[in-house]
Amino acid sequence: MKGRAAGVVVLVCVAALTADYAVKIAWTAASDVRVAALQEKVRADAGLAAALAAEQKKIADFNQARRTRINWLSLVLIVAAAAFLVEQPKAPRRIPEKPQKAAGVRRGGKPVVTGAAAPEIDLAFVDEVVAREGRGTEAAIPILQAIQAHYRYLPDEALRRVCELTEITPAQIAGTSSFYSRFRRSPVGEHIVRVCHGTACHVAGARQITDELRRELKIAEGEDTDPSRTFTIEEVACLGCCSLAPVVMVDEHTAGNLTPATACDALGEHA
Amino acid sequence: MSGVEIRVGLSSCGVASGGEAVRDALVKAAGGRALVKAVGCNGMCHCEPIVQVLEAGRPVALYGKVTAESARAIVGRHTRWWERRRTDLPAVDSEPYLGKQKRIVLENCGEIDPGKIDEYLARGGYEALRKCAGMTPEAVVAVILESGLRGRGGAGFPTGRKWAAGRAQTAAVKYVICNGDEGDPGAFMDRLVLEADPHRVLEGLAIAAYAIGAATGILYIRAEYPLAVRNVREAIRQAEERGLFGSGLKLEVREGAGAFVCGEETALIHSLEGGRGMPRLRPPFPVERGLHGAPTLINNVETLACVPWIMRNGAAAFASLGTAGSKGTKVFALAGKIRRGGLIEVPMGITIREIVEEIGGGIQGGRKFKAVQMGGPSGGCIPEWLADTPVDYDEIPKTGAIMGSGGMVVLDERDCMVDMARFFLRFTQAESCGKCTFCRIGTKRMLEILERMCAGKGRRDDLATLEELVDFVSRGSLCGLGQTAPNPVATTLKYFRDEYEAHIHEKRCPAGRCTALVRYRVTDGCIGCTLCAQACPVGAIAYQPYKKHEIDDALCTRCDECRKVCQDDAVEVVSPC
Amino acid sequence: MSRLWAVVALLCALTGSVWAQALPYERPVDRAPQEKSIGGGYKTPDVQKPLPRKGWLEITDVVLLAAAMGVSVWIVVKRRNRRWLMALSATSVAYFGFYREGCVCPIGSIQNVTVALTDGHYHIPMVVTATFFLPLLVAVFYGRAFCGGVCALGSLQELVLIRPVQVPKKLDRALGWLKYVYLLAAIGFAVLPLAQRDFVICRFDPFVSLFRRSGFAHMLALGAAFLVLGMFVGRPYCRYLCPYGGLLAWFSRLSSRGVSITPNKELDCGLCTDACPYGAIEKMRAVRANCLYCARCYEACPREGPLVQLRGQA
Repeated sequence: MKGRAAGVVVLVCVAALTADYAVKIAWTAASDVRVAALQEKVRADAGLAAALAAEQKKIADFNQARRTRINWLSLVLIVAAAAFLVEQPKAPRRIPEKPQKAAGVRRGGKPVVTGAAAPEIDLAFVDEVVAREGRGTEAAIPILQAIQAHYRYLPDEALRRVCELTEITPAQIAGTSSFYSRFRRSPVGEHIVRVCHGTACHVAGARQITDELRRELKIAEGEDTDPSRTFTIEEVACLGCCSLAPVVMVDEHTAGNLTPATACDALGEHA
Repeated sequence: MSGVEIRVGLSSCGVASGGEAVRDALVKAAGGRALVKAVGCNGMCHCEPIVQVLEAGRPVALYGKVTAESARAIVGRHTRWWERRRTDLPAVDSEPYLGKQKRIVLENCGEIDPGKIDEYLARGGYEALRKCAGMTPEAVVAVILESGLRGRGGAGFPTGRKWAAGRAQTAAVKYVICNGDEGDPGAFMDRLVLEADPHRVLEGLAIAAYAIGAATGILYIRAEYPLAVRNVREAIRQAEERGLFGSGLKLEVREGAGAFVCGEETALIHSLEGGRGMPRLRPPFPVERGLHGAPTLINNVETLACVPWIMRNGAAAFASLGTAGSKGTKVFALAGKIRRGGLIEVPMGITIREIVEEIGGGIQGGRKFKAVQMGGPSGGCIPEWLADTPVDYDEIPKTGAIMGSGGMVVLDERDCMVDMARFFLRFTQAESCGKCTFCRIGTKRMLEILERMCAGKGRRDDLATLEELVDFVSRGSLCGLGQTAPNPVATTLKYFRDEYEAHIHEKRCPAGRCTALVRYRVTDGCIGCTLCAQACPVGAIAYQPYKKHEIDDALCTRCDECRKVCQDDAVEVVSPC
Repeated sequence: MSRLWAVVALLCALTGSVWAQALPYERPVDRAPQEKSIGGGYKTPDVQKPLPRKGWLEITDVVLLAAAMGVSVWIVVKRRNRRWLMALSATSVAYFGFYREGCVCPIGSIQNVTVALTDGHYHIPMVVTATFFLPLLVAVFYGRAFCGGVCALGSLQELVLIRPVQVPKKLDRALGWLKYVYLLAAIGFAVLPLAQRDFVICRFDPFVSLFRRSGFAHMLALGAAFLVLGMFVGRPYCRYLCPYGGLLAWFSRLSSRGVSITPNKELDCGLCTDACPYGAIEKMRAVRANCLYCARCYEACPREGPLVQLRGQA
């Protein structure tokens, strides 16, 4: 209530000052004309000098009075403005927005066609690899690694081709490819997300990171790839960045010191 | 050039912390006024990305957790006199961390660009190999024997004796293998050495090859370490270009395919032969019959990295460090709840407490030091009250743990020992190759029991069954993996039996870690800072600044984030719930 | 409580401005050139500049300026109390603003110093020199303490800021360059030969006509506009136009102390960032160059928040 009254006073003062200013302009203009006329006359008739002096005194008095007037008006204005500010209800503490996660994860998106959906597999690469790595049984792992690096998983056709070309038997291929955790027999998403589950990462909460990623990417129970086939999640033993635990490696890029809140940032621009 | 050299650590830990952006910012800011060099990690992983600035006549300035912005400021400070006074830079005092260390293996880490052989040569690189070429192989073996160097891979077998055995073989074809299949979760010294100073390992391997008379050297490196593989390949190329290995030695790199058990010598050989990485009975030891039936000398990365130093400085210098039974230094990977984690190299005989409290700076958040897990899945938990045990190949096993490859994961009061045991069992269970019944099925049964306990469904006779299985599995397995698999369970049972009992009898998790047994609650200590609400991944905490927060128990996944971020310890774990 | 402070401030303002009117004004009679001698329609203004202050009073002003900055630093660095700072602001507005009518101020002194450096015939009193250098000196050590509760222009804007909104970062940064442009322009006009010389900073000072309660209507209107804008946008003049602010920002980058967010225990909850109307908190830490010593972040800290205060009372 007081605040509003003060506000009104402020407005009145501002109005008065504006009005005063308008009056001053008009009055000054008028008096200028009069003084000019008088000065003209004085030049002709020196006897009118007293009238000019009186006129000038009038102007001076007017200005002096105006000065006093606006002094008081502005004082009132300051007081009223201060009262207005003081009477303002204290600004409520700004309740900030909850910070947004830096990277929203793309959901849905265009399905990425990989491996299984692409029946045509160019086996020329297999021939090339075999030519490079040799035909002995000891070349099995390098061959499989090269095939996986190329096709991103081990397609059955390629494995069969390897058996045809080398001394490696289907049994050895089956045994080897199922033994090592890096070999995959089924197609993967566009990007592989390796969540480190080493000791340090475990105590730092790797389980929560995995859960959060699965939740954000909407990966179903028992699955490891999200519906849009963009990301495949793998739990790996240790990525060797223990002092940055918990750590996630997306393709070849590692991100450390994650929390569930920042886990999805690690997916970076792919998300 | 004003003689200012800026080094930025770009090992994979540095890269993971955004080191490349820092490097780019440094290069851009430095222009022609300073030399920016990408080096390996100096071991201070807790403050990656690290930038060191070297100026003639001034002490080395070290900056940690550098960002692109502070990188520009750092360049400014060291290249413009009027910015010299700046104090808003993330300077780090390395003395508490590096002061107690003695660097042999890590000598060049963080000092040289691993991609440039000249920098290694400038620091005395390949001098040892040249020196060896002037000695007989027997003399080289004798030096190693005399130095007392023991295998850094875990078991601590005297390296000299292994070499002597390799030398004694008369076969025409022999192999040397560098075992870089560092599978121990929690250990990363091999990665760092391979990434930051690959030539040192190559030199060690070349000396080993010379000593036993092998013509082929293989570096078996984990595929999880792509940068290490790249750096080593490049290092081999450069060294061969210079003809440093002579004509008699051919080195090659083989990537692992992701099997922990391949760290075991015989499994590694099977893997190299293209088969399943399954261990076989020893003897015959690989040094007698190894790869393709030929004598094969297998040494760990760290062991080989010690060799050039020993050859250069003499066996006596190495033997003067450490304890009676364990000579030299050991690299440890400090991780877990430690304040300053990273890679350290200390003389043998230093106590665990010195490492944790002095070098590591104690526990994060001032919490209580509970135990340290050493040796990974084969090791065990050493409780706080045994922390004065010196680090030594003979002393550590007395506690039930092992030296292992040097992973040290520090645990605090918030870590549940039953959960730790379960974690390692899950690991060994998954990594067991399946050859031995006890390892294959025994670990499975043990894991089931631990899973049950953590879920609050432990049975009264579970502890007795566990103890029985510990004994059977360790006696009934062929290789180190199975023999040591029960160690995590055995040590936690020995030192933290009360926690197991609390899980079984009271359905309570004293550390508040087992999610089935706990509930989270905000206490009156809450000041309404919203940190927990910001951190909660499932939105179980409403965002209400300046008000006491509430946790919606139905949504809560017990991820512990709120408790971790709370600065006022106003989130408590209630157990039993 | 806040009202009490406001009343104190009001009283100060009142007495200050009543006094200001009692200042002896120099009539044009004896010193200034007279209408008769000039001719050509020249009209002597009815009121001219006030008489120069007595020497010791001028010294007192400098001492007061120094003292006020000392108090500002003390309140912000040691006491960490916003209310006290508000009181200091009100006092400064009353004294340096309404009583001293906004002159001599460090902002304008840029020009005097510039002219003194370039024109051998121009002499400035030590007082002006001191006024110019003191705040910069303080900035080197403690940041922009002058802006906090000492500068009359800044304090006035600080007092009217009742509903702060955040200026988008990019816009804020872009507008921030304006002050340097203004600074260069001001120096440029000041170094011109005597005939064309112009003190633009003083001429376009939006608040000085308010302090003097006279002046051109458009300047009064500009001042009012700044105040109205300032009710929502934190200190528009200081952040985007004040040339002296530009200098201070520069010098304060060297400072090692100043506003510090939770120095002993990092909370890093970000509530202070939201509370800072000047965008001066980046990554949970105060940026010296932009921090205007308003102490709002202290007030917004949940450590000082209602829950903690309740507990303190209980």
